Amino acid sequence: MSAARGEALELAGVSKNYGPTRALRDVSFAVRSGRIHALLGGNGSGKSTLIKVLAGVVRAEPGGTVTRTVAGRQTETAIGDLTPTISRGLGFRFVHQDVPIFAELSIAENLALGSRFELAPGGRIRWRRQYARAKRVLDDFGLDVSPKEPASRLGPAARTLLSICRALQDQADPGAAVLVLDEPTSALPRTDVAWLLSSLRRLADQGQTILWVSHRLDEVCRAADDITVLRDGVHQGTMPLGDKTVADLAELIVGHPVQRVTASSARDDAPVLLAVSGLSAGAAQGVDLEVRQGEILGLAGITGSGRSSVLRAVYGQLPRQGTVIIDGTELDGGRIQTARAAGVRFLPEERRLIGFADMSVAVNASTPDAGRYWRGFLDRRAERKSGEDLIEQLGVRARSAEASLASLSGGNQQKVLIGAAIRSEPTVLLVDEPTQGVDVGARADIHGLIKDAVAKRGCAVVVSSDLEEMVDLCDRVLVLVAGRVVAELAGAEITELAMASQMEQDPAGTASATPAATPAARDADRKVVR
Amino acid sequence: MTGTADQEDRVTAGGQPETGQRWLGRRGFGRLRPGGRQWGGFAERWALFALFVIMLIIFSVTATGFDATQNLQVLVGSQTPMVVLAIAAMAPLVVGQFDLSVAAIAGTAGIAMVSAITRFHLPLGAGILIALVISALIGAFNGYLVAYLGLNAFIVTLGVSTVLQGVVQGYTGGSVLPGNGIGWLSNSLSGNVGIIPRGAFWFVPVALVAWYLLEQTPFGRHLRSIGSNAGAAQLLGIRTRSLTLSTFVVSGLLGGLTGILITAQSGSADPAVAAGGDLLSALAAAFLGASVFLPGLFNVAGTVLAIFFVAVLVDGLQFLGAQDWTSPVIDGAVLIGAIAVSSMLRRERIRR
Repeated sequence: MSAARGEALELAGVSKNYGPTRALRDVSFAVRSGRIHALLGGNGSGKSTLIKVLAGVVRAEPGGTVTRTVAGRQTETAIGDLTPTISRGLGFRFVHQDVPIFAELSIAENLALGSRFELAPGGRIRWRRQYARAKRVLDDFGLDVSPKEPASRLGPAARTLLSICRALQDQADPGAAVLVLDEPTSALPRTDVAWLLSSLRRLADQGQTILWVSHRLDEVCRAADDITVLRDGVHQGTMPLGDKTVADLAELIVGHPVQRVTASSARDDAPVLLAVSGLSAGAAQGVDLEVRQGEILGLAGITGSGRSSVLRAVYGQLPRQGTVIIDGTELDGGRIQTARAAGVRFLPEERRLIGFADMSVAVNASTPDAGRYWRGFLDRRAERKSGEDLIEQLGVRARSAEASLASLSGGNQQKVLIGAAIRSEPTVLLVDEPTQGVDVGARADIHGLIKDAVAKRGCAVVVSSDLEEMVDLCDRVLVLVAGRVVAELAGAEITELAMASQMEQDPAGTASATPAATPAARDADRKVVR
Repeated sequence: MTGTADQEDRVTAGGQPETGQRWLGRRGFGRLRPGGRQWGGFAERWALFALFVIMLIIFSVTATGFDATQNLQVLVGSQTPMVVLAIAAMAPLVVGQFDLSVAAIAGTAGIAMVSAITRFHLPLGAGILIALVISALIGAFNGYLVAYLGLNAFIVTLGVSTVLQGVVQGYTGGSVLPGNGIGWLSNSLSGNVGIIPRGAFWFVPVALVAWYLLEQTPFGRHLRSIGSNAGAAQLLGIRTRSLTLSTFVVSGLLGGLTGILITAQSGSADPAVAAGGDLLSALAAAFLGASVFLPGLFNVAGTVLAIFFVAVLVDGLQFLGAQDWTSPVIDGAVLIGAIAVSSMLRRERIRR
């Protein structure tokens, strides 16, 4: 492993106030050179603010300092003076959650947009040199693809690595920069995460210093060398990871032991509320499943396995073949309105599709069934009241029911939207990635919400890339590979290992015969990731 | 208080809206006001209205011959078609779409009505009906191309607008059609009932119905949700396509009504109306209206106020000696100023 090469970065007395709110209070810690240093904290702990301060996007209060050590030479800068240019000069390189990759452009062009084009006199691009340079960069970072290919050929993890290449391509040597990663894995499927983490490890072994923000504690436990924990803007400590477990980290982040909501067991004689047979839609190829009253069924699988297609098809968002029976009545496919009328509710994975950012919490909670508040006019008082009730019942942190959805943290937005779906007492609740990008506290709350709702009435089908979440939440899990159910796990059989070993079966044989299962994505996965 | 959570993760989920309201801009102008949310919110809501009242007072005092009451009566009479046209232009804006063809539809409707009466000897009622049906069909055509075929509304409506101008030009040979037989329609727009100008009896019901539909029904709420995030609305089972189409039908219908009112006012159908000289004023009013009453959202009351605001401004300045050419300059400046202010307000809406 990387030897102690001293400190690459030291922060002292970093504070930032937003009006009366103290986002960062006198934070001081050091990051060692050539290490993967995880920055941990719940939503609102000050992580993002700290990163914005380092990037020079947000101006910190005067007084603190940032010290960079490159090849034994120290540079101390007042933290309040950082601008994006100065930050870049100090060697900070940032890769954010939403990777800005231009899918239609070639990989070489994507890299060139991060630094420069090889130009001939007159401004013509010298493509041969451009491709050669891109190839060198890709080789350095272990990305085995042709620079001439469009970036759309890359899988999600490879895109993240490409943006890392782009950020680091012009550093003099691996120790010269500090790579700051803001939740690089939150949108990645599990197999890709392992691949990305091993790439990061290789970079760190070459001497690259990496500051890594993540909500996914299991990944932190696997890949980090050191950790720094922030809570409410206060530095809680910086330490080597050692043998800390996910539970230890969660406790450090929240400040008290976290209650894990464990699986309830539904009764075998409960009525079947959702029965699906021979369902083919999108990537799903003939899926059969049954979910009983009070039960939470998990669908495990890698991206492109058809797990999300099943939810979308039941909800009527995707055209489908096969039958779907809700509480004894067959459901016609292809129309969202029909599915909703039968009591199906769906929360999609795409965060941009989960709500109305500029509208109030109350309106967001009522829009799905605005008809309920219509008495010849819209009863805004009743609407606001019910928004307030929702905020109170779910423990949402919002200024008021009139606050815009965008003013809430990600976890609280998610609570509002799940709460709004649950309040209509759905027969079948479909949730794709219920807690993606949400902190550990909100995560437990959201799990509790889903369980309470199902215990009262209805059933749920959950898709998650986070296998620990599946263990916590599900009574039963179906594992999908290449659009087909390959295994069923129940109760104590549901373990991360059992799911992972099933879902990573080589789908090659079936995959070649199923062109419907997003060939581009799978192709890219096999080519780059495997 | 949400504390730092508020500051940090405000654009995580949902993020910036994908489609709708995009005409109000994405990038902000920084913070408008560092504090005083309550007072700031109130001031924001009423700023334009207060400005309107102040302007009336100033012009009454400084401009000799500018009598607020009498002037308002004349203004209401003359601006009636513009109010209807501005509401027409506003309807697709609510769902994040543009209709550049409203003025051309108005011109077409006027020609159609007069032509039905004078060339085909139909009664006035039938002429009105034909004009409205044609307008609604043109709107439905726009809406179909935009909502169901996914074509860019800007281009579609610009194209339709140009085609209509050509057709009107060809049909009339460029000459004004005298409006014989539209007598009672003309009378219904001129003069006063008591102190209320007759024009108000046309635009007030239109505005009230539009306001009711937009603010007081699930239909309006659904339109607003499409404007905020069309993808999310679709996933909630809201019929985004047919609702988007319906806004174009509304804008077509109201565009047609505008044409009928303009014809009634002038006593003849002028093919020049189809050239779209009034389009910019209508759009400017819709955007300026989005800065008042419900700041950051297109709204009917704001749009109506905005029409009168600009009309009084132009009128007052001309009383003070400004030339005719100031009118388009003011319209253009108001459009840009309004879009800037409403973008800022929209940014603020998202922040809190």
